[in-house]
Amino acid sequence: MIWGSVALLVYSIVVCQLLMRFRWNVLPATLAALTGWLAVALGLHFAAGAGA
Amino acid sequence: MIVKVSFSSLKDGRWYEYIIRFVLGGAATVVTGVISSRFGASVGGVFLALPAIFCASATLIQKHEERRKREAGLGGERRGQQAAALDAAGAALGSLGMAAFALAFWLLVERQTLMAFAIALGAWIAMSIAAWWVWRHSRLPRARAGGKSRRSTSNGFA
Repeated sequence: MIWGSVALLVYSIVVCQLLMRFRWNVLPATLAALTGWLAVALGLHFAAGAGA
Repeated sequence: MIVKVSFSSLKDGRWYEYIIRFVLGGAATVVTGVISSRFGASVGGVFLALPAIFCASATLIQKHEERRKREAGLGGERRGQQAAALDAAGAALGSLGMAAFALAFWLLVERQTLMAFAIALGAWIAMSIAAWWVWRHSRLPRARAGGKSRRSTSNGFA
């Protein structure tokens, strides 16, 4: 859950930037960032040894 | 700024929008449970922070803002994006609270489960409020400076 919440932080910042800086529409921005969430969450989880 | 609950915003939503949120939230919980039983609690725990209803929630916020602007005779596309971005900023602050909850619970759960849950809940509230306070106060000077420069521009040549 710790790594999931770190990934959620990254996800939220990415969505915020896509909307404000790159002026993406909400649905594509939130869906595209979801793949980033998955990558960061599982990446951190397995990099940390699947502990927390 | 005082944080307060506004029930009037509930009137903005349509009944099916609340059903979409409940269904997505429930589906995310079920998926997390399935992943947890299939791959173990540790992987399942990661998916507790899956932003499952964020897509639907942010899209609905965008639609509400656009509708409000259209009713006022204005194009509201940019306003909708800004409202959804603000929602994302709130989610970023909430994620810090969630991390504090998870960390506190992880550290204390082996001593006593109920106490660990209570302390973790307190950590979530404290971290979320602290994050919001820091974010709010770090943005205020910039907003004031922006407002001042805009005023000086409007009084000048622009």
